[in-house]
Parts: sequence; C-alpha cells; structure tokens
Amino acid sequence: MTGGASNLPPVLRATAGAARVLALVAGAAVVVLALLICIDIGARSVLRVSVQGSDEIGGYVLALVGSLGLAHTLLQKAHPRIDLGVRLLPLRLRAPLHVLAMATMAAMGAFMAWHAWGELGQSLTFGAVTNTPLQTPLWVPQGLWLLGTAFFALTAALAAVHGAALLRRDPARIEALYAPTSVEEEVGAFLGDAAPKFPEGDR
Amino acid sequence: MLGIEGAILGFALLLLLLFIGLHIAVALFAVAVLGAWWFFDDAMLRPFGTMMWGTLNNFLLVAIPLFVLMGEVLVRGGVTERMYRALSDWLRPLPGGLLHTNILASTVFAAISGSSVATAATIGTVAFPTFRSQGYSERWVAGTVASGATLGILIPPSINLIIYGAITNTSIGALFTAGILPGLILAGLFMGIIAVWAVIDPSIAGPRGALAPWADRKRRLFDLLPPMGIFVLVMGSIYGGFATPTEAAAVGVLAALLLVGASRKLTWPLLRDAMLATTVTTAMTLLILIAAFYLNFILGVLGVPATVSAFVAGLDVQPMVMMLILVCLYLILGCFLDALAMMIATIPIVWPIVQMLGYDAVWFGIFLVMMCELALITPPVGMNLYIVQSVRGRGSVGTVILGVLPFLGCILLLVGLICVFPGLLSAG
Repeated sequence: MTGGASNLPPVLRATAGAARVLALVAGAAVVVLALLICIDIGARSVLRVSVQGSDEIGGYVLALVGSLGLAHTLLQKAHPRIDLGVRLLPLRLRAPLHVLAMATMAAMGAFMAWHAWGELGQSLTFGAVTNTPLQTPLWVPQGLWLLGTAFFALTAALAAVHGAALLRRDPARIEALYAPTSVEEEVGAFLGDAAPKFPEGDR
Repeated sequence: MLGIEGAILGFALLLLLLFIGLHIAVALFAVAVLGAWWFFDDAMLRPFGTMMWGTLNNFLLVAIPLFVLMGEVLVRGGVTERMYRALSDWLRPLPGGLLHTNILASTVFAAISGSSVATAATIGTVAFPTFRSQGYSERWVAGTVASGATLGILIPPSINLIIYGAITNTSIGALFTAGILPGLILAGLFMGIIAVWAVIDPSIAGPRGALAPWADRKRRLFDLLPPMGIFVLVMGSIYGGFATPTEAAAVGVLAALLLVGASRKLTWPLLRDAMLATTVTTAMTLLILIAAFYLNFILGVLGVPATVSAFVAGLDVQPMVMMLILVCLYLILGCFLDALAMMIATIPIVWPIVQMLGYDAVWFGIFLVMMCELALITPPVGMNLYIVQSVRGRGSVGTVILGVLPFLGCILLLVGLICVFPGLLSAG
C-alpha cells in the first residue's frame, strides 16, 4: 500500500493499520450487501415472496462506508485537494498549508463526530427503532457511524499534530507525508493494486 | 436573504480556500458553516447531524459503492485487457487503425465502470506498448486515450449521474438512459475525426493492418461478451423496470464476481484490493457529498439560488447567449476545479437559471456531465491529461494537451447540438 505508512511514528502507524481494517470491514459490507440484494431480487421474482429490508440495510452499509472508510481514505491521500496554488509556493509556505489542511480536516471530522454523537444520544434516549419490518434499533448503525467519524477525526488530528511538530525540524518530511498525491502516485497505486494478476500470496 | 454581492463573495471565499490547498470537502463545508454562523448564529448548525445521517442513508447513493465494486472486480480480473485485444482485431483496417480501438474500448469500458482514472490508466497501459512498435503518432495515441476515457462518466453507469440524480431528485434510470445516445454520438464523432485526419495525414497512424484471421477474431469475440452481457443485464433491468439502479448494481456485482471466478482469478488479494478501492472511492465521494448537501441547504435558506436566477433574469439576454456564457464559465472553472467538485458545487446555483431557460432536469444532468468531461481534459487541472502522461512515462504533458484538442472540439460540438436540439436527450 502507498501512503508512506512505513516511515510514520508508531502511533500513526498503528492508526493506519486500524484504519485499513475498518475500511476492509466497510468494503466487505458492500460485498455482503450486493449478495443480500440479489437474494432479495431472487426471492421476489422466483418465489414471489418479498424478503424486504435490503434497502434499509443498504442505507446502513453506505453509512458504514462513509464513516469507517474515511480515515483510511485520508491516509491514502484520496480525499481530493487542489494543489495548483500550493505547488507554486516555496516549501516553507507549502508545509504549513499541508498542516492547515490536516487540521481543518480534523475540525470537520470532530464536528461530524459531535453531531453523530447527538443523533446517537437521541436514538438511545427514545430507544428509537425503525418503523420497518426489520425494526432496527437505530443505536447499532449510528454507533458504528459515530465510531467511524470519531476515529476519522482522531486520525486527522494525529496527522495534524505530527505535521505541526515537524514544521521547524523537517518541513520536507511533511511534504513527503501530507502533500496531495501526485498523479504518478495515484496511477502507481491503481496499477500496483491492479497488477497482482498472478498473485503470489499476501503482500 | 443574501444579495448577489454576498453570493459572489461566498464563491470567492470557496475558491480561496480551495487554492490554499484545503481538502475540497473541507472548503465546501467551511463556507457553509461560516455562512450559517454569520447569518443564523447556531440555529442552522443544529440540523447538520440529521442531514448527515440522511445523506448517508440515501438509497439512491447506495448504487455508488456497488457500481464501483463491479468495475473494480472486472478491471482487476483482466476483463479489460482481453476486451481491448478483441476489439483491435476488428478495427485495424480502418484509416487511423488502432487509434479507433482506444475510443471503442473506452466506450465499452465506460459501460462497466464509472471511473475515468480506471479507464485512462487501464487502456493507456495496454495501448502504449502496442503503439510504439508500430510507428503511431504519440500525440494522437495520448489524445485518444485521454479523451476516450471521458466517456466513462457519460455512458451509464455513471457515478456523476447518480450524484446529480440524488441532489436534484431526478430519476437515475432516466438519466442513465439519456446518457447512452450522446455517449454513442460522441464516440462516433471521436472516431470520425480520427478517420478524417488519418486520410488527410496518414502519418498519424501506423501501417494499416489486415483483419486478423477469422478464426482468431471469432475466438476473441467471446472476450467482448462478458462486458457487453453485464451492461445489457444492468441497463436492461433498469430500463425494463425490473430493478432500481441500486438493485441492478448489486446484480452487476454478482455477475462480475461469478465471471472473474469462472476464469479462476477470484483470489483473496484481488477481492481485498477491490474492497479497499471501493471503500476509498466511495468514502471520498461521500465526504464531499455530505459537505455539499449541507452547503446546498444553507444556500437555499439564504435564498441564493433565487437571488442568482433573479439577477440573471434581469440581465435580459437571449437563452442561447446565456447557455454560451454558462459553457464558457464551466470551461474556465473546469480548468481549475476537480470535475466532480465543480459539478456538485454549481448545481444549486446554475440549475434554477437553466430551468428558467426552459430545459429539464435530465437535460441539465447530461449537459453538466459533458462539462465535467471537458474539465477532465483541460489543463492545468485536467485529471486525464496527467494520468495518460504518467502512464506514457516520457516526453511532456504538452503532447497530451495537443492530442486532446480535436476531441475537445468534438465535445463542444455535441454540447452545441444538445443546446439547439434538446429533444436529442428525451428520445429514451
């Protein structure tokens, strides 16, 4: 995997590992969802019975991807930034801007987590259960939602702190770790991932 | 209510935040929060949690990760490369030869994937080595790969059209159907200009090859069946009303898994990488969407769309002139903004104007996607240009930029056509 995870401090490296696991969980949920929907369609058209609920679960899976997947996406530098303006600046201005980008991302993550907490709190207070055949207790998907957004905010904050600590010492390293991806990296990541057509075990 | 000056100031602030390198989602979100706070204190910050949960529970958007997963599984399973070879067998005798393969392969690939990065990188990787040994003009090869890849967002399934449908409450089935004809016309225009140019200046293409032996062609024809089959399955079930786009996407995922499984390529690393890539693409899109939905909500509360369309109505210009201004505006924006962000951020402002001019929501969706196509191949921020350059791995990006110029002209021509004949898009 790209993203320079190998030269991060231990805390961030552990965070990156956890982020990847959460992203895999979200990705696996998409696969399971696809199968569930297919079973639903099959039952509907062949057996004439409606299993129902796959659309509701679809919503939860999307919430899972959109929260548990955020941190890994951040560390893969896949949340897009426009580097057109930044590229023109000298390194001593570029480095603080990379830190600023991480810090504002952490702020947005914290805002999201705070509001997710608010929603979860309401669902818990009222013991909210969806008005559907599944009768899902809302705290389950919303709890995972809070977990994902909070972990995302934490990851961004750690990256921002790490970047800020490097500002005086090693601005070039900030550039290496937290600058937007160059297209070469992006294509490399895509082809690198697509490449294992003859996979020799796990990387 | 916010005056037109306030709206312009807000937009300028957004551009500033983007240019100092904040993440696109953060820039959109920051403008929304500042606007909400400035005018309403915290009253309009409170609904954010409910809105975010609503965005994430949108059943229409569930189609995004499913379609992404379908494309990822098929690409990683090697379906694309086999398809490219099969097409090249048939197209070699045409003037312009294998250049047509780039366009047609992109067209077919577009039908199973909604991503331009994947299209440009995959087709480019297969194409460049083949072309170098045969004396093709590097400029034209690069131009065809970069431009062909823009078809991915016009021909269904298209992530951009799903997002547009979710934001504007437009039927995704109708949008997908409306995208097919202009997509095919555009591919036709692309191939037409290659053929004409190759007749005028044969040096752009290598030696015209003969058709491959019939036995080979027939055998490789089977490599075209899987992508075609999946497209027919997915679009057929949407168009025939058997399934929602989300359900069709799920069927597409199952078909892709079975197909790659049947060729014994469905391994854990493949599945794991496809799942991770799906999560990354979807999470990236969703974060922008969360910010954009909130920004749109704040803009609506502030009455910005009404203000802007009243302002434009007051200008009293001909509808065609207005469309021309819009196209120019998008061309300029597209030079500097990421295509998806440009689309999402401009919908709430531009849609009321376009509606006032008498165009419908499906038409505007297709128009917007074409503006995104232009944005993908206009420097300095045209994503496809750099992807192709990076796959090419030598010379300068200037060659790619020169290469896409004729195709840029084709897209503009088609935009002109749909402006004059809006009926072109309602044929479905």
